[in-house]
Amino acid sequence: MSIDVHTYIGHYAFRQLRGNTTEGLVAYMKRFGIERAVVANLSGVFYRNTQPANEELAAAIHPFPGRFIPFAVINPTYPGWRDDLEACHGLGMKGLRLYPQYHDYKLTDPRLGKLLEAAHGLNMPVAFTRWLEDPRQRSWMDSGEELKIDDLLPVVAANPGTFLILDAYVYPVKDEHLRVFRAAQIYFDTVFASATARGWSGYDLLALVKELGPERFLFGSGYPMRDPVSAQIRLRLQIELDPRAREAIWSSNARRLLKIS
Amino acid sequence: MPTMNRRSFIASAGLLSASAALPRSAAQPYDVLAEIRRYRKIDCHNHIFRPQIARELVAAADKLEIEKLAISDPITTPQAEKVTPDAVREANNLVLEAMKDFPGRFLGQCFVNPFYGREALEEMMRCMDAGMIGLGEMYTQVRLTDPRYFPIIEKCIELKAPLLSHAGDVRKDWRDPERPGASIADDFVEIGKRYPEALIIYGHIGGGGDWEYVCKALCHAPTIYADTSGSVTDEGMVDFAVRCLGVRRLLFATDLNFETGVGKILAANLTPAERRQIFFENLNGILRQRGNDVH
Repeated sequence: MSIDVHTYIGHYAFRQLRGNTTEGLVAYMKRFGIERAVVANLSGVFYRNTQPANEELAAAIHPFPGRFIPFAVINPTYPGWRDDLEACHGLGMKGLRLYPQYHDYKLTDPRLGKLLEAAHGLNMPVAFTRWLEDPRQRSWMDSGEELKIDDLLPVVAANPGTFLILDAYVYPVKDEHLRVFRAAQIYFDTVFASATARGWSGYDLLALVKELGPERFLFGSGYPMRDPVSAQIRLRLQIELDPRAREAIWSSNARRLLKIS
Repeated sequence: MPTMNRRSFIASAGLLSASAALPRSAAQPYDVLAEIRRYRKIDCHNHIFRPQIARELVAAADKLEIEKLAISDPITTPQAEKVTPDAVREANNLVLEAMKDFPGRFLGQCFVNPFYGREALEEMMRCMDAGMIGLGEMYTQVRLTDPRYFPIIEKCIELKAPLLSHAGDVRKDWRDPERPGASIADDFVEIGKRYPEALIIYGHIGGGGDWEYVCKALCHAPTIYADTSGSVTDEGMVDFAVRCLGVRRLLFATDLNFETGVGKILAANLTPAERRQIFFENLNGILRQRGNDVH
C-alpha cells in the first residue's frame, strides 16, 4: 500500500475539478491501492485568511480516520499566522503547504524564515510546489509565477533542520543544487517528474534519484489537479529502480518523514 | 459542441465521482500495466533532435507499448528568413536516417518553411517520396492563415497527406509576441473553413496554452484534428476535449512526454472502444488515405 504525499480537496479558482472532496479522494485511493494521502485544501490558496480552509479540511477528513494526513495552508505575511499554525497543529495537521507565488510574498521575506523555524519547532514538514497550473495557460487573474528551484535554494540552505518537500523537477542539476540538497532535510515529490525519455527540458528524474538516493523521494500524484494515472506509470513502469528503492518511494520514505507506523 | 448524451453530460459536468480510472468497479484495483498493454498505440507527434535520441525514443515507446512514433525535427527559430532550405533539408535527413535505423518504428514527418515556397514544396516531395507520411511539426515561421502557406496545404490535399502544426500558446486576448508566426486555435479554425478537405492536426492540446480555450474554439472547426500531447496533464483535460471535439478528432501523442501522454488517455472517462480510437484508430484512418496505415 502506498502513500500519496500530494492531493487536494477544495476548489481551484480557475477551472472546475472533479474528485475534489474527501469522498472523491477515497475513491481515488481505493482504486489505486493508496493507503493514506497527504491532503491540503486548495481553497486556502485563494482565501486571504487561510485558516477557515484549514478548518474546512479538518472537518472534511473527520469521517475518514486513518486515511488522510492533513497539511495546513499558512500565509506567513497575514496577521495571526502563529495562532493559526498552533491551532492547526492542535487539529492534528502534520505539515504545511506554502504558496508564496499565490500569497504574494518573496522567498526572501523574513516572515517566511520565521514560519519555517516555527514549523521546525513543531516537527512539521513544509511543502512547496512549482505551480498549480502551467503558467502558459494561466487565467488573467493569476500572476502565473513559477516557484523555481534556484529561487528555493537559499531557503533550503538557510533552513537545514526543517523538513522540506519540493517538486522533483530540478533541471539542469548543478553541483550547487546537490551540495545544498545533501546538507538539508529535503524530500522530493515526484508529481512533476518525467521519468522516460528526456523531454524538451532534458530533465531526468532517474539521474536525480541516482545522485541523491531513493530515500529522498516521495510518491505524489497532484490529484485532482493532475490526472491520476500518469503518476502511477511514472513509478510502476518507468523508473528503473530495484524493488526496495521503489517501495521506499511508494511508501516507506513518507512513513519515516510523517512518522506513520 | 457535439450532441451530448446523459452520460457524457454527467461526466463532463463533474457529476461522476472522478476520472475514468476511478470506479467503474471499485472492488478491482486499477492495473496500470494491464491497461497500457490493452491498447495498440501510434504516437502522432514526437521528435528527434539528434541521432542518439532515436534509441531512447524506441526504448521509451517499448515500455509503453507504442508501436510507432511519428517523428520530426522542426527548426524552432521564429524568424522565417533564418530557417533556410539547406537547414530544413538537414533536419529532415535526420528523420530519414532514424527511419532507416529503426525500420517500422518511426513514421517520418517532413518539416518545411513556407517562407521559402518553392523550396518547401520541393523538400516536401523529396521527403514524401522517401517514405514520410506527411508534414510535421510545422513550426512558427509562418501562420497557417498566411497565403504563403496555401500552396503547401493544397499539395497536402492533393497527396492526402496529414499536416501537423505546432499550436502556439494561447490565452484570452493574448498571442506570444516573440512568435508572431505561431498559429493559435483561432487560426486553425480559419484555415479549416478555407480548406475543409485538408487533414490538419492541431499540435498538443496540452502544450501549455489554455486548453479550455483551445477546445472551445476547435469545437467549431469540424475538420480539424487535435493531438493530445504536451507536458500538461491536468485532470479532465482529455474529457473536455472529447466533449468539445468528439472522440473521432482526437489523436494520441506524447511530444516526448511519454508516461503522461499515455496516462492522460487512460485517466479520461472513456470506454475502451473510445480509447482505441484515440490511441490508434483515428490516426490510422488518416494514414489509410495514402495507404500508410498500420496493420
